[in-house]
Amino acid sequence: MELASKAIRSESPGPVIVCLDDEHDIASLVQCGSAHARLADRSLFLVFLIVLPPQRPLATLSEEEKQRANTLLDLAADRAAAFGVETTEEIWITRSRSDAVQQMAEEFQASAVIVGWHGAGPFGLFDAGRTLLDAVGCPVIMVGLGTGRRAVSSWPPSWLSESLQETGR
Amino acid sequence: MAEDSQDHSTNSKAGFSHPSQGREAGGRPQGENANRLHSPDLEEKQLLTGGRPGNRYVRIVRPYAREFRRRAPGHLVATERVLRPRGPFGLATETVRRVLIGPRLRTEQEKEERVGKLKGLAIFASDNISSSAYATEEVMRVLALASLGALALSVPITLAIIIILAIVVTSYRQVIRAYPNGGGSYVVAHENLGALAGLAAAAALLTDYILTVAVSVSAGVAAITSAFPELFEQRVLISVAAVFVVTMLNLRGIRESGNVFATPTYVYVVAILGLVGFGLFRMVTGSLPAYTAPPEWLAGQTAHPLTLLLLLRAFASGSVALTGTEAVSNGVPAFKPSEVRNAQVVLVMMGVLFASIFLGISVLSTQLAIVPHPEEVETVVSQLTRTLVGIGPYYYLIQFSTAVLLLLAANTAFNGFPRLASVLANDGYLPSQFQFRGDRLAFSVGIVSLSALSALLIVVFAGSVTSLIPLYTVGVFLAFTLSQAGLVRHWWRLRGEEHGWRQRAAVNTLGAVATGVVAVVVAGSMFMLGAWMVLVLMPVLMAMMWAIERHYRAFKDSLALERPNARLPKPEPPHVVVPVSRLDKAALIALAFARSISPDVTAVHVSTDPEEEKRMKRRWEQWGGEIPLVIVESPYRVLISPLMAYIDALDRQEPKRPITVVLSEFVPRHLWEYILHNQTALRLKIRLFFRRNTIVVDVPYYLGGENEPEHLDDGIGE
Repeated sequence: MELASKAIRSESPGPVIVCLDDEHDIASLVQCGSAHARLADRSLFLVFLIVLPPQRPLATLSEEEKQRANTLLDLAADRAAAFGVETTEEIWITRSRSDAVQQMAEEFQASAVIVGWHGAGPFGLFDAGRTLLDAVGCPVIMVGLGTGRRAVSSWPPSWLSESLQETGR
Repeated sequence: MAEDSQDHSTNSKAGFSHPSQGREAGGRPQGENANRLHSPDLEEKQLLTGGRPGNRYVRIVRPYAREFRRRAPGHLVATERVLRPRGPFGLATETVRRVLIGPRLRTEQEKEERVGKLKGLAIFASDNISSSAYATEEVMRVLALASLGALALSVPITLAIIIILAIVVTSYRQVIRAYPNGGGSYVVAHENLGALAGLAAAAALLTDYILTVAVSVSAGVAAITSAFPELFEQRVLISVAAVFVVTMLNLRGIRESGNVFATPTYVYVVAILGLVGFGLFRMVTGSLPAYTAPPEWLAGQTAHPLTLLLLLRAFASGSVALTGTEAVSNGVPAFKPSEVRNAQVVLVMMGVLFASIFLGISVLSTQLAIVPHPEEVETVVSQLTRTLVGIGPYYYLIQFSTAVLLLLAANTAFNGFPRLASVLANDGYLPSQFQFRGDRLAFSVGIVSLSALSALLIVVFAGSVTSLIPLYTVGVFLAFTLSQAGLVRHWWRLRGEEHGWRQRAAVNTLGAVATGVVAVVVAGSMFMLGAWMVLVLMPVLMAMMWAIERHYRAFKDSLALERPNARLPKPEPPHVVVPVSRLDKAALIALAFARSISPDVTAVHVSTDPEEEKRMKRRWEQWGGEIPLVIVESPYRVLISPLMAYIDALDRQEPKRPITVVLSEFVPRHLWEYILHNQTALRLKIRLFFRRNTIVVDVPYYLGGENEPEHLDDGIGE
């Protein structure tokens, strides 16, 4: 809630960035991104992130992978359009998810970054979200999707629905 | 398939653009970035170096994703966004179109409804069953010409027609078996009897569909004007309006939805069978009410002798009842499995229902000695209902359900005609526009053509069913005959493989002979009443379709590749001619383009004024471009002909070399500004379009200077 509030109040002129990948629920991420974009009156930027292992050159994306990314981006754009939000979309191929998110947040002066989050492991280990929070300069909203201990159970949370209703968006 | 491993590297952040700032609203990138790789798939790929050492990213930008969806390499799918109108006129047109026709449908949104026997009966039998609303009346109208006593012959004639119906139904059961994918008369005749027979069937069916709309709508409106005689004078207007409404519904893509058809069909069937049952009960119990025709109905009639020809005419008029019988055989694939069995059952059910209603109405009308209204103000069914049950809710139920059913019967033609036209267009017999499917997946050209032609018939024949009937029946029976004859040939071909082919062939032979005889009877007895129009029109239509096919065949033959791996031809660089009226920015863009496609460029100035000619020469020398200028003086002040003659002469010098004419054409900001210019380039373009060995290139120059390349200012001295 704290992070989301910061995102809404952000003075940054940039878009709300939604990072998508194969693992996370695109519908929830796009719904969250669309809600924030409308609330903050920002554009929505959808990025499909593909993380390749070091042994694979970055430019050797298979046609199937590329097509899957395109299809999911189309799906996400259609969902955003259903919420009345115009989008731009890109595919990013990278070695490190957090580095790429940090990079795009800086370059586009993002007003918020929305990512999916499966929760942390035992004792907070393997928490990729924590790494991202430390790395990215703008507010980060992690939409809990998985079954981890700290996963969010439902989306959108009541405070966001109320905010949207209050502002009439 | 791996991507091209060759990365087109860009350096660091130069390739980034802000997604919210760097594009227009439509997602199009502003300006050109030299570091980006543009692909034919409309994607931009960049290799970027991140902020940390060693961080590299490949970024695939999709600036046109809203307009095109990428399906595979080199395969894009245009989205609805590309159809968005530009400008106020386009927006207004689109709004009107949306309201009238509805939002666009994608090709894959087409749904094929599968129906069972009950819905199938409602859908495919509505045309045939609706004929019962006017079949008896048409028989009686002819018999009444002789005398009131002759009306008693209505029942024997009805029985004769029912016998023909039984033969046709039995024969069409064979069509369903032989053509489970839908065997229209055209398909059966074309496949088995050859192109000429196919064309004859097609011509008959096309006229039949047009007349189905005209007759059904006129009869439907007659049912309404019978209940409300004050509307009789407006019947043509009401009929045309009804055709317009059915047309709009069809352009919206209304399909033969079972639910749309089922209710009115069954309401009519139950109501009319109830009326017939009630009437027969009263007849058997001897309690039929008395009916007296107004004496003025009979006063104006001149008695014809009751000749064989008159009887045949009555039979021919009543045979209109058989129209629509073939609809079931056309729609076999629309039935649920087992399609053939269900379609055959529905065909028999249709025949039984129709025969019961037809016979019942004929018997009761004869018993009551109902006389058809001489001016068609009130229908026989209306008189029958009024006499039996009086004017009350049941009377209005019969009249309205008749009207609705007849409009639905018209709608079946709106389904059949465009489909047949598209099949014919696919075979090359009709213009390819008939294959075009509109925003709602309907065959728009076919629908509009059918609508226009049937409305024209309604207006010409003043909405009179009796006047339209003589045109109607001959085509129907010709199509029946050709279809049955085709099927005889079909069974003969399968004689080695098909068990029981002799019996099947015998049934279809009987069908062909019976319907053929009826066709001759109809044509002969109704020739002077209007059948001649159809008999003249059909050969004309056939000749037209044959000529169209010849054209398309010649067209395809001349364009076909001689072998599948044909190589690109290697033409010589063209001789480029650039007509210039003056040396300005637009001319320079055209000259620059001309130079880019060939080293051999000649600028031609047609001069009508010696002073202007001198100025042109001086400016050309000042400019100092390396393109030669030829001045063609035109003392008669004509611009285009001297230029065409010069191009002809140039062509004769080197006939094997193509000539390319690069035209500079400026585009004003507003449409009205066009009238301020004399459009020489446009006229020249039209002349050159028909010239052989000539390629015309139009180089537009947009007034307003937004797209002027900077280098154009170089070298133009005032």
